[in-house]
Amino acid sequence: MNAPEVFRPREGQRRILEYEGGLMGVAAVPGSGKTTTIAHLAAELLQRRSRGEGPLPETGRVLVVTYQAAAADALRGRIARALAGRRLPPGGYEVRTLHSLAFGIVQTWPGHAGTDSDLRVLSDRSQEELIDRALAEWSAENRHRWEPLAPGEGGAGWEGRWGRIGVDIARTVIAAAKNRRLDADGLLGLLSAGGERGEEEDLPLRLLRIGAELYTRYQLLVESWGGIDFNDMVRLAVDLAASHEDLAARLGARWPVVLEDEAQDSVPLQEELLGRLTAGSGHWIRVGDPNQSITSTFTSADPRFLRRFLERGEVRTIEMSVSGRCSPRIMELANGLVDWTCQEYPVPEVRTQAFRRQRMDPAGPGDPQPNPDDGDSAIALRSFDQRAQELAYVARRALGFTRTRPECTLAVLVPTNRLGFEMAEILREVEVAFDERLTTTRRSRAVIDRLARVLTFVANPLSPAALEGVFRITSGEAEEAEDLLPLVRSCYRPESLLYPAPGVAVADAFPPVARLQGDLQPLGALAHRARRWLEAGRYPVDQLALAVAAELFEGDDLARAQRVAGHLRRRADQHPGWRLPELAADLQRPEAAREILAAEEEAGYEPQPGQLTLTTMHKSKGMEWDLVYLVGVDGIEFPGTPEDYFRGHEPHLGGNPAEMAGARLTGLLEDGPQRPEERSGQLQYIAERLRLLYVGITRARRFLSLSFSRAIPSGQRTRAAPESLVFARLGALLEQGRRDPG
Amino acid sequence: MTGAWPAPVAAAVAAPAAGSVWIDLPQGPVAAAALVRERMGVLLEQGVNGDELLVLVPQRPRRHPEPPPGPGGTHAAVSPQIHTFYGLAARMVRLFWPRVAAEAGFGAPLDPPVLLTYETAQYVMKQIVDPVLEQGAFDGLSLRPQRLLSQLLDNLNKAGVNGYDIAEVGPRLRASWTGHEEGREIWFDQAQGCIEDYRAHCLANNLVDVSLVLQIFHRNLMPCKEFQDHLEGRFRHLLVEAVEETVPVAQDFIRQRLAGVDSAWLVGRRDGGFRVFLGVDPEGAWTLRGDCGERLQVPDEPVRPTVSLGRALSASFEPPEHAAETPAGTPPPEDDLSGALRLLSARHRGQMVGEVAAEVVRLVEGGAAEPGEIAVVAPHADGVLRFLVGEALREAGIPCAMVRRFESLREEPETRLALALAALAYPGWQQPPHAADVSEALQAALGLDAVRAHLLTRAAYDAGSGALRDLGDGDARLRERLPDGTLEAFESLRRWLEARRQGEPQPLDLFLRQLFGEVLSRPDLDPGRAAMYARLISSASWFRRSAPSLGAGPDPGGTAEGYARMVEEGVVAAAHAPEAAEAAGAVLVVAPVYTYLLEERFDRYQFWLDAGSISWWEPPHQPLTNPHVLSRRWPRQARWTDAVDYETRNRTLGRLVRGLCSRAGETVYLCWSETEGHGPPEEDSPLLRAAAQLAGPVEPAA
Repeated sequence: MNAPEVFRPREGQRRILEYEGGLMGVAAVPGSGKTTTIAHLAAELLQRRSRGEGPLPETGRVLVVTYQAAAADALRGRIARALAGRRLPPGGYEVRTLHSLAFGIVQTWPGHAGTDSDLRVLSDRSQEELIDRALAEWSAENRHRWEPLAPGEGGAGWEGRWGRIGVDIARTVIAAAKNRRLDADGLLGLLSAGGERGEEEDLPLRLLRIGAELYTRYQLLVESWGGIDFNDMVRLAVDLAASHEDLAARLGARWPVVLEDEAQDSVPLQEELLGRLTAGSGHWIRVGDPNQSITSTFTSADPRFLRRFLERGEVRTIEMSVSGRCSPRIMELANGLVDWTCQEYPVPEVRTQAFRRQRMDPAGPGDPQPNPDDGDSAIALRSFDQRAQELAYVARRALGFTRTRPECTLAVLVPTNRLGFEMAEILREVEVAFDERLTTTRRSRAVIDRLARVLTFVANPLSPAALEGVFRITSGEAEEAEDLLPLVRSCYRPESLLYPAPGVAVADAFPPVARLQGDLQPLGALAHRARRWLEAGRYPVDQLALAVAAELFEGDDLARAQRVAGHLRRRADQHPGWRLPELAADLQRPEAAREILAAEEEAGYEPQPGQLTLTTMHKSKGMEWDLVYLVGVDGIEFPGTPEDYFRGHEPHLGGNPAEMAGARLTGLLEDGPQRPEERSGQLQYIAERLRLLYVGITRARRFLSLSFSRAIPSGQRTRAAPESLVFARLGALLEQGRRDPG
Repeated sequence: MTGAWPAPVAAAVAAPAAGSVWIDLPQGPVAAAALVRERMGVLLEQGVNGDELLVLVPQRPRRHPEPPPGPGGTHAAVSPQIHTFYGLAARMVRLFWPRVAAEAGFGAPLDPPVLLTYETAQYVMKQIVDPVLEQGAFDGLSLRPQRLLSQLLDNLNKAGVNGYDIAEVGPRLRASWTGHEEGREIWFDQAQGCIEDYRAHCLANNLVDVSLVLQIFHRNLMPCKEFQDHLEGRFRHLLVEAVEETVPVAQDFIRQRLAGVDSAWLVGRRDGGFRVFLGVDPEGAWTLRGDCGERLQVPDEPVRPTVSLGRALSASFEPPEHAAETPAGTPPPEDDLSGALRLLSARHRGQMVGEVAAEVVRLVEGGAAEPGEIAVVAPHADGVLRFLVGEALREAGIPCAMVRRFESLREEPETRLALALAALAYPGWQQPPHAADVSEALQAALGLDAVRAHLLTRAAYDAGSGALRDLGDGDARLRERLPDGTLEAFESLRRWLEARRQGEPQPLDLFLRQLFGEVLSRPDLDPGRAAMYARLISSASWFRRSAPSLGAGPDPGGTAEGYARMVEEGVVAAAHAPEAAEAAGAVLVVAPVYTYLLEERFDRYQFWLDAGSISWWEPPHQPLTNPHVLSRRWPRQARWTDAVDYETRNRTLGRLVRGLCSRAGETVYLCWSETEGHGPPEEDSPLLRAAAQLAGPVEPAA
């Protein structure tokens, strides 16, 4: 049941709750209560609907669109509580992610969309496999086009490098084109319309053409398989709304008011879809923080979209600038970062690209969420000679903090997973208990692991290791089971254990040296379960996985198992020749776990006092801790000017080829055929890294530590890492703050 | 027996064999089949010869109604001719082939026709479509290859069941299209090109698929004097069961026959016509009422709460003008629906299925119902459903029968293992079977458990050469680990396969028949699995017989390989088959829903599974086909707008819901899981929204 939620809105929030209709944009700073406000706005609209007032007609429902599934679950709960607080019946609203919204629309009108209701969506990994195939085919036929792109010193190793570059180009161009509803022919047409003129000299255009050709091949492979990818799904939904006004009108009538959360991460297709859904009613509220847009370098999102929306004349823009999250000191550092970037950043283009000029303001007196006091707050910036020193220092300090302030929460935030794994090693060495949330959660991995173990066993029931794997599952954590493990491991005749012949003792399953002692009940349970699973082995793999899951899991784990089953189905569809052994082995590959549960969101995660969280800066969004360590804030992770070193860049080509192709496409679509700013990829990256740092800083409530090392591991070697421009500036800001505390 | 019917109907049942009678029944326990069967018995008693009696039934009878004994307790010399309309048409086309083949345009009218099954039709269509796809046709269409084939065949069949030329298909679809996208109409043109090429290929090669059977019957046979004379002389009496489930050309035929027979009985069920997607035309069927001399109606029974429930549920999503003739809307307060509707939900589907199984066990063990009084209906009977329900009921000792549709032959374990054994016997296939399939095959062939089957496979299967090894006496350890006689049985199987491997390749269906008869058929073989083998043999047999005309390979080995490849590519099977023949005293698990409705079974308890799934509200419109637009009834220039789409789906769902409820005696369990859709199901599913209106907010179980 949902406990009622009482809400005392702040001024900005109150103005949002007074929403009467039309376009509204809300720029919400970190910690300003965005989710709460959205939940209460939905409840408010429904309350007014019950009185026959407001923009929501009697038959209409509020549609809330958010970024991730877990966030959608959380929002659903918040709205239910907000309704309960107003003594309103549940219902009248729907919370969707973009994908669930698009899928629902396409699945409801598949015939119009050129598919059927049982449509198949490519998994990320299958998508990558198809891109690999498309690239391999293309590269075999076009050596004369990619070999000349090698650096001057010759082609040693270039083929392998080209493989990685080509995949990146394909991925970038396909996603960007699909987000603009541009099919492969359309893209090639666009390039032809621009003429061949100057293509030899215009490297980004050449790279874009390669991307377009890869797109053609990739799409052919997808269509031969008879499915769609995720971008197609949203594109089809937009196409439906665009080409069938009556259908769009029906959807509009169903959802006369659309509330969009995390609008800064909106991709062009999302913006278009929601725009079309609200075209009739005009009631669209977009809530987000342009300064926390940190997905633009790996998705088609771009904070400019939300900023432009906020600046549109017909949009009522509201600032939610009051935040009770951070101490004033930390808040000032964040504000200082924004101000400096917008006003003084040495690269003028970054001044306009990185941030929207907005400030975080502390909560006023009597606010239900007051800011932590500066008296119990501190900021430190440190540099180290070696990465190992930096990590060890952070680990020791973190350990000390958990002991001295056990009531506080704390986190180490890293810019990359790789650095996270290094940090995790050190934390283990120092014996700091921590909750690692780098890629997938422990719980999710456990679900995949258990299913993989059962599938491996069903695929090969003769394997003692596989039998041990399922025994660990069927015996739970029972102590007596632990005693039986060596026995199970020694099982050399599993058939005698699982399907004992008449008159044959269970002992026959084990070598004569093994002694059967104690409680053997766990072995009976193992045999019972294992027989059932073997029997279910005749069904298609996803159904087998679900049947097993129904016996093994409950609650959220079942949801995870469902994702695993869906993944298995897609893999089986993709590889019709595979049987259970291949599918089980495939499931055990790290890529599988990453793919299945990469989207395992943090929305349900609550940091626990005294327990260190280790995660990436990206994944930290939406969370807060009393103490935050930001490590690895060096000039490589946070380049300051286009002349700096950038990961993935090919210096001889003048940048990251995929970014160059992507930027050229954006330029073509937005500005026409003229050549865009050559450094646009670098500029975009610099801007996003500044926002990432802003996100990291604003996770800290009381204590903030930023650090970097001047020498960092690079493969088997060590390389120099310069101090980043922004780190130096933050130091200066801090110093200035100390000198001038007012 | 006749005493069970209202007096006028009872009188009609017993009346002499003259005149035409229309009888309409309510949906529910009054069985159209029973009424027809009774009348059939009376006619035989009156001395009508069995072969003068034509009985048209809606689906190939799972239960062949045995006519009651004739006068003196003996059967009439010849049994009545009981056919589906298509079955009759196919027989007549074969019979009159020399008369109509040339006229129908066949290239070799003096050669016999080759009737295509659904599988072989897909095979032929694939030969037509593959080169077109290579050239970039259907670019942008996101359909599995088999779905593309089946939609093209659907288009042909719709022309056939409605009795118009296939040239009309494309223009009809084009004219109804409302979208703006450029290029979309090209798909209709490409589809039209494919079906015309396919038709030309069929005509050139004497291939007769469903659409051609119906077209020849309707266009060439029905107007033909010799054919009419044949019918006049042959069938003097006509009985039609479930007229509402007939297609337009069948209605044309019935109308024609009404004028020529001595007696006719047309039995329809009000508010029926569940297979519109197959071209059934209930409105057209109802017009036959006017062609009958006498019209009788079995009134509705006293309204049970379940019937009220059906009306109340359907009223919430069905436009009032299309609702049942009985008043719709919210049920009157005196209608207590609390016992008629139960909601059963869980977060995940597996949990929901588990809950259903547990509730069924509770009902049976608690004495509330016999197993034969419970039905579980679902849009799809997948492995999770079969496994969880099957296991739970088996553990509780409750008999269970599954009736389901086959989607893809390759997903059936029996197909997989039989073809794995076939691959061992046909070295020319160059496709060694997967060890997992071999293991499954040895398990079934030798009656082993899964572990011992793996053990034997590991020892005996050489995946490199795709053959079984000669194990001789086997080593002592292996022998010790297998049941007595296993190695001998294995050796016998190996030799059996080796003999075929060494000999001339034999036709696959013959191989499968022998495989089943000599290897797989065991006393403890599950009847459902046996039925699946029979299905496979029949499918392969059709394929082989059609092979020369299909271009599937001149030799038996090549034909067999062609068949195996077709299965591997995911050919869709069309037939429905029971997994267990004895359904009467068992909990019936049935999918899809309309199969249950055609069964005329009446159950005290019904469980509707996956109620939040879009499958209950299936979109009628597919990218390349649309049964409504392709129906004879569709106004040629009308457009398939969203409003039409929406209303049609709601109407179909309304009919389905009322049909199901009228077959439930006591309680309907609406079962769903939160995660079955891509949004919360209670938001997407009209069925659950309707339930929520009746029962209050639908709060899924934790």
